[in-house]
Amino acid sequence: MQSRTPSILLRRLLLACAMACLTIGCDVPTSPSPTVAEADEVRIASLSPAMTATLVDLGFAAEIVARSPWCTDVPKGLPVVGDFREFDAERLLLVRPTHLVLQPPLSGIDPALVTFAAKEGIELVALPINRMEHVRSFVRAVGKLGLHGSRVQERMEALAQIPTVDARAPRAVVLVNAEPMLVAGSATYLTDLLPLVGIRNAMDREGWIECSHESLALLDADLLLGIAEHEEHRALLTRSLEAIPCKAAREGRVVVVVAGELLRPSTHALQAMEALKPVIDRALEARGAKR
Amino acid sequence: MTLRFCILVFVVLLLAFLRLCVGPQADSDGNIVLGLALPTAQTLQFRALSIAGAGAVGLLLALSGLALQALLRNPLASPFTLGVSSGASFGVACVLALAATTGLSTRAFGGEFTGALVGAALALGLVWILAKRASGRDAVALALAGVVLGGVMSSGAMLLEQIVPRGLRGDLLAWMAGRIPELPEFSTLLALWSIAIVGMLLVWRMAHVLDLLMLDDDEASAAGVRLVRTRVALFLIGGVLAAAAVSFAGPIGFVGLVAPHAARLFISHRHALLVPATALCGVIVLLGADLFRQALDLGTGRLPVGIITALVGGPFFLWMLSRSRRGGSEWNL
Repeated sequence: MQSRTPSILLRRLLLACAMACLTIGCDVPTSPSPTVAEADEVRIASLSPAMTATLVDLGFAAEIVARSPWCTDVPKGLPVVGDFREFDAERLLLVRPTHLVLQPPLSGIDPALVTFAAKEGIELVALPINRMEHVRSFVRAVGKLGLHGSRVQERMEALAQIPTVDARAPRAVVLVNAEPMLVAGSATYLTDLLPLVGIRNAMDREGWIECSHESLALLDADLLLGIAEHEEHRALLTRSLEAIPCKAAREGRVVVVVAGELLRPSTHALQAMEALKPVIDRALEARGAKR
Repeated sequence: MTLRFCILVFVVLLLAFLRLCVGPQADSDGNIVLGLALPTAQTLQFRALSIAGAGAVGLLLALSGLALQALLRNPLASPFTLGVSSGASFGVACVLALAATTGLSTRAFGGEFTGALVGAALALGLVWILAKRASGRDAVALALAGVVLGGVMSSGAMLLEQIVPRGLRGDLLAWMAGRIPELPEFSTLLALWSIAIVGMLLVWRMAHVLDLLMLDDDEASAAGVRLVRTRVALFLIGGVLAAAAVSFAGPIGFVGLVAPHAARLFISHRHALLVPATALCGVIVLLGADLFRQALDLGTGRLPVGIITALVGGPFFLWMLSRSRRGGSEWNL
């Protein structure tokens, strides 16, 4: 019994191998690849959801030929060719991008990716996208790609018109996640965007801060703003913000919006922020909090 | 027995061959689909390097698991029992935190590879010292020190994740998922394979001693085993092999646990046979996982190899356990 098992296994493996060889023999790769780029065609592979959102907003959705798993602004049918840390060299070869846009991780761009891109003639556009000034740099870089009929100029002007922080503006807590309570701190793109709607960030710590209700109450903000990715998150954010033991919550100065585009640093966020302005004004003026 | 070894070698070759042939292709409509075809000159490089990387990591983790199961006389011991994985994660978190706070690339601080290596070495050193202070480095003390230190170092990594202002969560989580680089540097691969082969030869040379070590301490000593020396050697070999694998590919779980048991089940409990069989099983597990992740397309890109080994390795381990029980044999070393 003991000695028979390996023989059976071996026979099965040989059979599988023979079938694989037969399949390989029948499946000769088609050549040339149907996705070969034309001479002046711009084909962009994006490994950054924020960059994808900006490209789509600028009117370059058609130029995006590959994406990261997290890029939700483009059709899901586009091939996934990697994320911020890992790239799929074989799929990149097949989609033949002329440009690869990505946010470098903390470890910097993978040297293997740099070598690969140089060898394949792919231009790398690698920029951090944490602040609106980074978005501006990216739009500027996109403007140099030689694409026509876009909204690059329009968006550059809109980015230039983001006002600086007014020290007298009402202070807001910006909650982006309820459990745990995650708040946008200073040095984030959301803080950069708040002056567009006439408010400033009450949280002066840098980055994305996990907070308790008590610590948020101590900030004594004039407005509690929640930004939800989906409708189902809205109730969670509202409950968390209303539970903060502070004057703004007691007086109903709580605004929760479903605006996934505000959760990615992109030019798309500019319009979403502007659409928010009347809602925020109403919340502040109705309670007389606007100074 | 020779036939069984032939089967293992055949499976390794088959998986390597399939990995060479499986990959994305463009169909006539321009869609990218998974295909089975001989590699082109362009794709051969990626696939061959990926095979070399996966093979080395599988071999390292499997042998490390075998050495540590023998050292600790514990069938549940794996390369990560001694806190190597947590130590490496902590080292990587430190390097990422430095990069995040200074705005420099991690390469300015030696890179994640160095961070992982230093972290793993630190964990091994501390486990050794703690176990020695506790009870003179017996197996239980080593295992306990490893588990506790692993917990502390994991918490340290999470603490850094929380307190670094601009965040390192994404980077750290991606590193912890484990990956087989497609285009690793040749010198790194060479170093990895050198460590793997030297490690295998060293463990193989100790095969008879490892058989005797399965007895209790008194019997092993009576049979001429120098317990302390053997333990030091196994600790160093197991630790270094695991540290090399983790530094290269991140913490890939279950390989070091499953491979030695699969080899015991399929080949023998005798270490002279078990060492090469475990090495082959480790290579099979990693090559299989790498092949599987190429073939599995959920529309979200390739899954990290660490997820595949955990998803497949866990149930496989339970199957081996139930098979062992059904056969009336004890789940032992």
